[in-house]
Amino acid sequence: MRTGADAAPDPQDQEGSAGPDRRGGGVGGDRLPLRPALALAAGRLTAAVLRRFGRGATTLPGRVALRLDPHLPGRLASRLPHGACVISGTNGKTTTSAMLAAILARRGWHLAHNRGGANLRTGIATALLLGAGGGADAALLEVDEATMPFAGRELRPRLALVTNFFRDQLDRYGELETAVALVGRGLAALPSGAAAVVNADDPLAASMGGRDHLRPLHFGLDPAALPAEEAGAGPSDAPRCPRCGAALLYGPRYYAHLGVYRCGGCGFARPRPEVLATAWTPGAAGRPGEVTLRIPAGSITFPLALPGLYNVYNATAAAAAALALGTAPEDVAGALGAFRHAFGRMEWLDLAGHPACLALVKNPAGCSTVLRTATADPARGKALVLLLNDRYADGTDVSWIWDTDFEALAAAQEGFAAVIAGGRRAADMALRLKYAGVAPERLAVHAEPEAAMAAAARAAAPGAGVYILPTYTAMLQARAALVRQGRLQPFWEV
Amino acid sequence: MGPEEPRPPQEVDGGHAAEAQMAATPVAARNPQAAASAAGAGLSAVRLTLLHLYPDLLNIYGDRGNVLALARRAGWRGIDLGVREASVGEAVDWGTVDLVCIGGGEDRKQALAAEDLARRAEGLRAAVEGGLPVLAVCGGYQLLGAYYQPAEGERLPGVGVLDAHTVAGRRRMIGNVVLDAGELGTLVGFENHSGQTFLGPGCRPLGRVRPGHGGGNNGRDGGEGALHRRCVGTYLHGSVLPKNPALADFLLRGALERRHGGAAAAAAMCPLDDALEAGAHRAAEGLRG
Repeated sequence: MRTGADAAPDPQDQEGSAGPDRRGGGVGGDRLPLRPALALAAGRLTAAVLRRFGRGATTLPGRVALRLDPHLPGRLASRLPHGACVISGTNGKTTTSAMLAAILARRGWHLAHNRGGANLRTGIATALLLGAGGGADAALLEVDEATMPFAGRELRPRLALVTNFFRDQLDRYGELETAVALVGRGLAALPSGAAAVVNADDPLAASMGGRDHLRPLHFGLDPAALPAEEAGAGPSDAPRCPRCGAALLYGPRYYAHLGVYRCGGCGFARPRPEVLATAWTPGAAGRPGEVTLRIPAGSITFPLALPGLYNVYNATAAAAAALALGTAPEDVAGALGAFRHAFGRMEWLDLAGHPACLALVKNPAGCSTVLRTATADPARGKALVLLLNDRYADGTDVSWIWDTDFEALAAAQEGFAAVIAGGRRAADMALRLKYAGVAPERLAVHAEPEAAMAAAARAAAPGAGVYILPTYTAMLQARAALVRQGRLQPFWEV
Repeated sequence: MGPEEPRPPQEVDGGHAAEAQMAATPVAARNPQAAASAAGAGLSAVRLTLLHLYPDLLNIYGDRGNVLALARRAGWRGIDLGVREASVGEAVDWGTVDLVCIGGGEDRKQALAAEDLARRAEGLRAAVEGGLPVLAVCGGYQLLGAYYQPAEGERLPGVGVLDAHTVAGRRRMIGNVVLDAGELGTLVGFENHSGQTFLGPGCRPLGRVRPGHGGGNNGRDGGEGALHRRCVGTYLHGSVLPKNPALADFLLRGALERRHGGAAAAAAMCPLDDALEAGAHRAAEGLRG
């Protein structure tokens, strides 16, 4: 519940948090002081100009505004009646944010949301200023791990959600522990009583510091929810106890380092999840899956159209956060049941008559899971395109492809007519595929994303799926090409 | 809110599908030329053992690609390369080992490995002096030196296989690297380290950093990595061996010579079709440091 003369009590806030502290000046309907007002105007003008010229506006407006007033994000966040929520972690931020956005939209919240995945300061500022212009009453922001200290300090969110930690973009953090520490620092800056929604199944997330003053909430999967073939798969990033370094004991291990764990040394163990996925039926072609969650108020069951264990986690996380915000369980189930896709993550489109799936990849764990989805597709004559860039947002060190399980792809290569390597580092990707065992007659190299996608469409059998797996900037290039071809709507129009 | 009671603990597996798959692919299908040549030289049973040290602790940077590259390049030549793993507390008989790969890891895991490696120091040193090929990347490279001095805390003694020592630096050296490495040609990779390594007179650098293409061992003397007999230390990730087939083959040939003699090595090391390797190598040479 917010304090302050203008704060409208939120009737739907049954589990209302203590609320962020009020900042001096600039409360809700009052005029902004000059500096932030100018910054806001400049940012909105920049966005309008970009839109006029047909360009997406995800970071430049924020960059312009921050130059004029670095505290504009905090200003804007403090004026939102429903406050700000932040989502961080390695994988699943964008999809989980999109799911949570769908739930909150169903209960009538109007969100400032960086749905394009621009999750550094500039992207956050852009989302907030566009929201301010559009009458937003809440902010839902995906936040990069290294930006969490800024987000906690500046935005004073009422809720933070942490999805998981996997090795990602090593050239930015140097160490996984650093990412965990940064998110912990962000949590420490949250106001007292804010909700910290954390993945119980991830020992790295569960061991984060900085949460003593927060309202804790954990989500996870029950062993009963895991189909046998999914258990124990994938590379393991941290089989050691984050507290004392001793080996972690699992009973069972779900995926990489996620599971039900206990430290043999210091007794650190998986916390009990308040929101627990107790059943999962994976979907098949043309039939969505189904998920059951045990929640404080009972249980909910809903269809889930997105494939893979990682999306069960995303849905469970979004549900936990939504419930912490006082959302009615029926709204949670209804929105998740209707959810289709998030920007650039398992987006389905039509590519020259083939069903094509665009799925962002960034690190070994995420890429290996997306590859498993492609290989699990029973169609013959599929095509796979891997677009590997190495710009800052992609991660300049491409060594991570050697930790990704392409061997599993090679084992299932009979189902693929072509495996195509593209992007700036196409040669590295082709080399990786060769060493994984992909047959030379199946392997092709086309550096330009558009050419690579066209080659895939030509090679795939009629009606067979084309899977396009780009890193971040390659995804932007691929989407731009698809928009030019009329196959995709520009994301800001969706 | 107490902890969940876990089921009886299961092993955390390392997930090395690559080696298993390789074993399943028939030799002749990988490289018919090699199989024929091997058969011609009566080498149908050329075997080598690669030891992958601390795969659970020192695996931060795709260095598994090095094990994969060696296994593949051996397999394509009809050489039966078996991959063994050993971690903390697990016994190793150096007499049965022909190649060693050791990667890098986060500080805490590196300390665990250092402690364990110290117990094996004598055996490893003797083997390296006797010509055992070793590839040690990043943290593993540091551990093979005399010591590693971290920013805070105790000096970590190394194994003393390489005449080198490392000091934690303030600046992180990150970026693409191109080296001129004499007989090994040009080497390419990606470095990411704040440790600064200094070589003594007992070993030479692996290569010289091309100006503008990286920092190397310490950002000052222009050298990268270390080479002593067949022991290679380097900060190059990438992984380093796939894009640098000359280096991979140097290690492989060395292992064959040591175990099976020069004639057998020459017969087994037929050239491979390295067009993709060369393409990736060329592309990497053009990258900004």
